[in-house]
Amino acid sequence: MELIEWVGLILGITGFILITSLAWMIKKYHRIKPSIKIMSLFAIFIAPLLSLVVANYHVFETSKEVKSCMGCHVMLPMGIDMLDSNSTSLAARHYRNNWINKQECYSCHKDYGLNGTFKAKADGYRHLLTYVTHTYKEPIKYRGEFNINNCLQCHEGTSVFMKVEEHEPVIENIKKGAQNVSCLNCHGLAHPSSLRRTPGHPDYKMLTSPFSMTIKTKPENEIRDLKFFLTHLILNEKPKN
Amino acid sequence: MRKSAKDLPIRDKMKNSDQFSRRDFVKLGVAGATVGAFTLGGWAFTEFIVDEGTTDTWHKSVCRFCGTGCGVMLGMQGKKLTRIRGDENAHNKGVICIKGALLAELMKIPNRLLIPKIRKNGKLVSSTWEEAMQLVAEKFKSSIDNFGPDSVAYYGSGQLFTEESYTANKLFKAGIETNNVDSNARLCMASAATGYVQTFGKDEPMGSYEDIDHADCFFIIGSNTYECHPPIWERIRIRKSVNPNVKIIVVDPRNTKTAQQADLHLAVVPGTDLLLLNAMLYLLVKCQNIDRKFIDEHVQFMYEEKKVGFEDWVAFLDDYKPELVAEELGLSVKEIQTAAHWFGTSKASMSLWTMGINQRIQGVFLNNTLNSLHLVTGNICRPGATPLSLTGQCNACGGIRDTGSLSHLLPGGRFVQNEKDRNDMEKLWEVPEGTFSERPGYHAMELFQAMVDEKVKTALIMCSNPAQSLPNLNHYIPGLEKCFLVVADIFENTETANYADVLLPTALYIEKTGVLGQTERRYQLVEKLIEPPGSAKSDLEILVDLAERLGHGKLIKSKTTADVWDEWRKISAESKYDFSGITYERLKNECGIQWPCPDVSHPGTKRRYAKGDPFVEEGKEIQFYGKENNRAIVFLRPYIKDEEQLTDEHPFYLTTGRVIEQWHTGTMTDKISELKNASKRGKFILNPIDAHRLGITENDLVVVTSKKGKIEGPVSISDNETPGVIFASFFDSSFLINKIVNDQYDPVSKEPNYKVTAVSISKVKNTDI
Repeated sequence: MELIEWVGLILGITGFILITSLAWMIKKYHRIKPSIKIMSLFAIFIAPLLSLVVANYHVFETSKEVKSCMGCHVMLPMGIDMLDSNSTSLAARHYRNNWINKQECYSCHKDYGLNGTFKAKADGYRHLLTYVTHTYKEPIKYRGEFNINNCLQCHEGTSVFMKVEEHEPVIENIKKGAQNVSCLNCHGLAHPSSLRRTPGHPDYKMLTSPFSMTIKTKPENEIRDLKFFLTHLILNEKPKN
Repeated sequence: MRKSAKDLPIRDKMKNSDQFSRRDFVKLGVAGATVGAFTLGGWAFTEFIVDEGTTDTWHKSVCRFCGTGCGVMLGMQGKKLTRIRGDENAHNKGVICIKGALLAELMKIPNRLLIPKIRKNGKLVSSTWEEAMQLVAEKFKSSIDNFGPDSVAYYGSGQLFTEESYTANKLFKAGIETNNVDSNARLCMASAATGYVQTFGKDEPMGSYEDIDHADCFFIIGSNTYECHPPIWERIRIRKSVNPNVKIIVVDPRNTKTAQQADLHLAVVPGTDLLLLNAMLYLLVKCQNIDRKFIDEHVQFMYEEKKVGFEDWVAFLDDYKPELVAEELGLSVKEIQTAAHWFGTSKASMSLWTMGINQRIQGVFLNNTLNSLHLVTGNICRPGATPLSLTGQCNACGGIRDTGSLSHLLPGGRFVQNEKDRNDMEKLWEVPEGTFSERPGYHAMELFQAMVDEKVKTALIMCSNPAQSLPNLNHYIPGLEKCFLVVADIFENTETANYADVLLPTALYIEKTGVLGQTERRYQLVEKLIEPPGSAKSDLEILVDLAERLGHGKLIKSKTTADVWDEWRKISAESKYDFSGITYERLKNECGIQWPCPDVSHPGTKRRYAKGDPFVEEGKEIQFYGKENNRAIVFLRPYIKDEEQLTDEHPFYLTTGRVIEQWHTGTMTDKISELKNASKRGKFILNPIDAHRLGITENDLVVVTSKKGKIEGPVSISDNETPGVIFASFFDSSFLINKIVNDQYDPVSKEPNYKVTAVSISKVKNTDI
């Protein structure tokens, strides 16, 4: 477990102990002693506030992780495809080549700056609510347009990027304000196509089953961790290691 | 003293009671509702702030440009095309190239031709459709009446919709009764078409793009796939990245962007590659990498018109022993051996080629021999194993080859010289027996020569720019001036429009509906999404109007694209090009369908001549049904030295081609600023060794001279060009490179030899300027 999770757990347990103690003391003494006031301050305000801050921070940070995105069943095809060493999608190629060391989904899907973070979190909240209320339809579709500046924030200016002459018209198009060229136009799909993610398609079962994956390159414990998580999520049981 | 709880009044007891009261319930309910309201309110807020982008609706379509025929999704905002994305469900899996990515800019190009124009006193003046078409009809009638039907002609394009080419073909061949119907597809695909027909009995490749995902060896010859068919190159690259053992062989005199990523680049001397192919065949036999069983079952050997045996073929190949041909090829023996070994030992080998092979004096021979490589090794009709000629234009296959819109053809693979074929088409088109002339009409080069000779008096040119794309341009320009030229195009300022006597404004791309047929026999639909500007019309409307005015309104009974398509697909059922199951309805819902497709429930045919092809008989795995005896032909094709040989006077080879940013003669792409700026202007590209020897530096002005003429232009120096070879692209109207390109053509396909011109190059001295 990570440190933040330990902190949260301790705060939570402490808060629980304090509140139950407080409740017992009030019931016993029928009055608020000074020591109880101090305990109350801690139990009712400080501990919960700290817990809220810690929990908020924890959620903010863990929601950036791939595991968080994959927590929704409907996102499995993206995750499984990304981990598939035979896949040619952009997500899989980035993952396989270790071009993004962690938070693979968040790194591409968060726009620039505070606004980008806010938008990502707002989208995440919207996705969560849509998912738990089951008001989504498969295959899920990206709403609006993927912001290609998210690609450029890593790629633009690199020697590899600048060497490709075919990027010149793309940059001009962006500078012109037209912005109607997407990096995906030439570089292909980021994730499995919507057709393959449609229930009933021959590939759908494979894309929603973690056992179809063959993973290379990544550290063993990370692969195991992710695969474990996905398997646990689908089968609701621990796979044999 | 403080009272105990039991002494408190009832009201106070109730206050202090442990029971859950109504008040508590209400408080809890309100708290819950508040939390819920915040949750849902937050959700509503996030829905409200979602940026839905600029697109109102998305529409499935096809790219306008090359023969890859990429599926695209067009994002419309009202009546404006604002976004292009590759169609993720189409064969190209969402990948398109930079030209396709800028289709939205294409539709915004200003200064479109909006109204018809007529040349009066040397100047094009505005007119009306009635006046213009009346004049056109009169000129056609006058020529036909005074000089016969062969005094008129139609020159079409592999970029018109199938319905348009089909209608033009029918009007001219069955209505006007002239076979003077040809197109710019003659300049790009004729050798490939002829090669397939000679070898297999039927035109069009047998494989699919999907074969790329299964091939273990790619033999890419005469194709700069990276720049000219980028999504196909991307698919090859991805195949290799997933499977590093895949081998890529590129045969090209230039070290193109494609060649730079090859495992083996064979920089052959221009014009000599038939030596390479025959040498590979020699080695395949010697190293026992041929499939004798396959040969015995499915192949026959011929030398010209004569049937020969396997041993004759083997003996023929003795002249192509690598040691005998390496020097002329400019290769080492080892390189030839490596290519043959990789090709012959791979589990599945796939050849891809395009203009480097087709636009050659021996284009047909080269095509035959490429097909032979696959036939003798059994690398055909199974996943990953196929010869696949890459089509140049978006509709050269469907619109020209399949509809028979060339001077020697009739629809569905029929020939004007074949009496039975003529009779069949006369019945299908419900015209009297004897309507069709048995003599092939003028092919493209003959047609423009006939204009020079004033044998063709009146001609209709649609969606093409021959005044920039023809080889040996200066020779044919006078013909364009002499002939009464009716030009249908989207702009007034193309090179060909400069010679138009009547200029008709046409619809572009999604301003009309029609079908495009690309490289892998896939037909796809482009639906009309916006109105053409001004009074521009579709080419079909123009042809229907002309037919009426020439008295052929009854013959051209299908007046809309839907009706034409239905007519044509029903006719196709009477041939092995059967696509009668491909209705508009299906095309609207599916990402194109590969023919043969004989009924509406048929899924289309991925691999021709193999099991699954509806024309392959039950129980057979492979059947080359285009030939009566079901055997494909391996031709013994001798290498003949190109007439364009290097001399002291002309010690360089000039080869022309495309660049990724520009399409053909640049009439569209050169007006899109992103593409124009990226491609820069037309120029010569020279190797540093040659440049140094000649005292030429970057951006110098040079003059390049051939037997046909000379042209000045700037030069760029690049290591990617081979010593002795100069490259130039033909997109720039201010750099008409085709003026000096030789206009010899393949004697069978009649396709010009763009790729090999002997030239000299020298720096323009200051006093020359």
